[in-house]
Amino acid sequence: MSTVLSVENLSTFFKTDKGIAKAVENVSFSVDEGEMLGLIGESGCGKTTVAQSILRLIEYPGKVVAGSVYLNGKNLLKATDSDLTGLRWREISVIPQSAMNALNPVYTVGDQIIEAILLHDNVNKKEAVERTKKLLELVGIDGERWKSYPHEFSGGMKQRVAIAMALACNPKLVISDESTTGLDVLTQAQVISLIKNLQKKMNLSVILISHDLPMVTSICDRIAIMYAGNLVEWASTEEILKNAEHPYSKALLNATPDLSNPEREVTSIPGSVPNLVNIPTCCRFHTRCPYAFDRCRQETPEFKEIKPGHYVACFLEEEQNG
Amino acid sequence: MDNSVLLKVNLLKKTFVKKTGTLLKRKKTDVFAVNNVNFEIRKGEILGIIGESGCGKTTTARMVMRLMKETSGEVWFDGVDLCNLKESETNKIRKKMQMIFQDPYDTLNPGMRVVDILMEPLNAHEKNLEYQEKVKLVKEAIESIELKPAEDYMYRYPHQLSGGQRQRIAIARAVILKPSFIAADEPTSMLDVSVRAGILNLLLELRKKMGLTMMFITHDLSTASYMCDRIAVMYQGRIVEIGPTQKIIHAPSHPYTKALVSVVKDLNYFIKNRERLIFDGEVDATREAVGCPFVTRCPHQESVCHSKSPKIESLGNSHEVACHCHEDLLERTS
Amino acid sequence: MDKQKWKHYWRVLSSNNLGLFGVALLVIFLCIALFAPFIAPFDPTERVGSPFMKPNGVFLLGTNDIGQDIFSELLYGTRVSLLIGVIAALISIILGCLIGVIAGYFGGKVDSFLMRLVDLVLVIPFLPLMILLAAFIGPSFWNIVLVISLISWASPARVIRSQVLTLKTKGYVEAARSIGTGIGVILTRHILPGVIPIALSQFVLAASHSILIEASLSFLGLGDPFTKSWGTILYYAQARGAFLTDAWIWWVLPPGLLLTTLVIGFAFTGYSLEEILNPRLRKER
Repeated sequence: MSTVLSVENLSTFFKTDKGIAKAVENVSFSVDEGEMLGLIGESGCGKTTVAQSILRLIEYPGKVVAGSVYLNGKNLLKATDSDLTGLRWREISVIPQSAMNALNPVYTVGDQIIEAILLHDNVNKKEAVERTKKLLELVGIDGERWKSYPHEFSGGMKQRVAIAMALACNPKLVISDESTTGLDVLTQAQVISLIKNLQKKMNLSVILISHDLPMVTSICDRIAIMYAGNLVEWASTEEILKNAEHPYSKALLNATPDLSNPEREVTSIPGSVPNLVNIPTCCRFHTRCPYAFDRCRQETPEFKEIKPGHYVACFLEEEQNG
Repeated sequence: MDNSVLLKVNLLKKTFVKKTGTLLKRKKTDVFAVNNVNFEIRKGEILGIIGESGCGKTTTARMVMRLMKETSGEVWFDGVDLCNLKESETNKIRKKMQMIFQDPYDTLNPGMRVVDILMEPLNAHEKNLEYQEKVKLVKEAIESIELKPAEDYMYRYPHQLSGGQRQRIAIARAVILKPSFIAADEPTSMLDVSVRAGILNLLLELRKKMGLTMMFITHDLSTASYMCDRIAVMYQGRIVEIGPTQKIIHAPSHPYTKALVSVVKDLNYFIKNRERLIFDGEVDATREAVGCPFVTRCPHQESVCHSKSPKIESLGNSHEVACHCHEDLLERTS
Repeated sequence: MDKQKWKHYWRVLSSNNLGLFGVALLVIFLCIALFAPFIAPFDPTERVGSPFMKPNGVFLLGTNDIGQDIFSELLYGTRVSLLIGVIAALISIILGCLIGVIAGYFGGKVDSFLMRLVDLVLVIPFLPLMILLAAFIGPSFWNIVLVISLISWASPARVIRSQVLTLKTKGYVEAARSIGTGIGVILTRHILPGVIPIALSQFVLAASHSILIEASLSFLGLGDPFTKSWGTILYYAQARGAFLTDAWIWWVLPPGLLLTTLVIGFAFTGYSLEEILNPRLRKER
């Protein structure tokens, strides 16, 4: 399997009144062809910033200060604006968090998809209309409804339209940024299953950004867990579920009740997320980690491979294994 | 009425009038937010009410807590019908029933210190206490919600607390009067995953320590299964299934509950069997209240489902369901 | 904390040049009003010179038709204008607060009735009505205050009502209700603190508005004949033909300029108050 996207040592900082907020620091991961990667973490952990950095959407006061993002061998961070226009939609696209905001209420959904197709692909209007209809049918909406306005669709259907739009130019990689948050449980499941089925059918690579651990563990191939701007663990779903190494990953798995086993006691993580402004060199989880020792307070653990395909940033593993 | 029942809700109904049309051709239609809801909560029990947003679960809680007037129906609390009480009598009852709200950022007055916030219930119901006694009670309350030492938190303003700490203060405010009943409206949905468990465990512990009876509203089935002895599933203003937690999770009878359980238990199973579990239909809240509310998404529907709304029937073991086809479904699955 | 709050207000205020300017103007006028007897060279009610004198070393702005010193008249006039403005504004804000809070908090029919009343007051052409009222109940200090407040409570009432409507939906108000807190306590502890900032900025605007109305009424001869305000001075100037001669430079222009300056002072203060008190413009948290 070939790698579609590889992110290496990505750091994105934001300037604030009080200093530099290290929103994302030293994040490395990759996505293979036809793979679904779950990027999970709590609110404010930097997962959306990672997505924005990949898409080159970071604006002042934010800045990607280090690292590289390779999409099929091209470094996105060095790409010119015109290169980017060619890459967005055709190579990489986004299913946004809120379809309400992504769709312009004064144009029909068809017009909006057609516009995207005409802008990025060399086709005529008629072909674009045909493709739009096919796209809508792909996501389970009657193709003839391309002339409808966004307000004529319900929340779940708008989210489907947003998916159709993201797929308009046959991208290789789709980033879904919390695209089901705010929908009802069943609608959410419908949308997720649509994304999953499309992913298989079109051999897409998907980055699923979410805070919903049970959902991510049930459909993603690999999982990357972020905490306070750092990637703490990255491995296959099975590995995470069975052999999670990082204390944060373990705590997260224990924090949500499990329907198949409601008797199991859930535990919270004491304390709260550190402020990322002017954060000193340390393991950012040390304030809440039950196993923290001196080294965790002074050095940042390296994000390294402990088993084939299993990456962790924690000193604990090192201590135990010599 | 059975002595062990603390709260009994009888045929509770809330309609909102929706006005459509022009000034001259004004059309008024009733939208049912809560439609003939019945349930009981026994002393010491936690009843979970689950459902999607807009299904009427919060409206039900607000009517139970007398924050909203019902259109019709009865709410019996400890042998008293709350719907026929005067405002001053209701306020006295409130000492025994308290509510925890969803949004910890909104429920504490940003201009008041923690000690003033917690003093409010005491000022309303324990007017004869000396100030020092009140302060002592406030301290105890803060310590009972595991924020220690209390002095560290008493003089802070809400914006100096984290989301989880705020929700704890909101819980302290609800339990400071030692109520017998608490309605918790999605107390963890606005919090980060890592602090949710703490709030859930705190509520369970308070229930054990104080013998609380609780109505726990959530949209998350796994949270409900962790917290509740019994679960009522609401869909579009009605209770479609109610029963002991084990029954709801292991032997769901209503197609809606089935879909819900399968989604949460095993999303992959749901993805593979989507057509068998649910239609790609949509929720239609404005639909006339004829027939079964779930008919637009139900994969098992028959003609009767469109014309007649199902009555709630007992399946034994205090497990009840409102579905015309539940017997057929049972056969089909077995 | 309270001390910090005031410090914060002062920081916002002092970082805002316009606001500082406005407050400085108001302070100057307040001083003039308070210390008029000490600053004024003459008693404005005494005939101290011959009529229609041009400005000279003794009478800085000349004398009027009966030989009173215009400069002293102006200084004493500050007192009247400021007093009427502030009192009328105070009454109309208290009235507006009361009606706005009642309408907003209780809603329903009470709200509809009160808001229609507000609409009524707002659409009435205010100058003719005031002339009518002033003429009808007779010119005196308190009548003028009454007339002005009757007209100007409506717009603050409406602003305050909308604020109450947003405060009412706040979770902490509902929480207080569910606790069993009485209506009185909810209004004073949870609603009023949110209303006061808005009422304060409305008060400043109403004060400048009231001062202008008072001047217009007095200019039309409907002011209190026994207390001389800037409007009254203008009225006499007009009646004695000062508008047609050179005398307008020292008889008409100074009261006009003072009026403008005072209103500007109020307006600038109002803007900066809004910046301090409007939570959306305040970014400390």
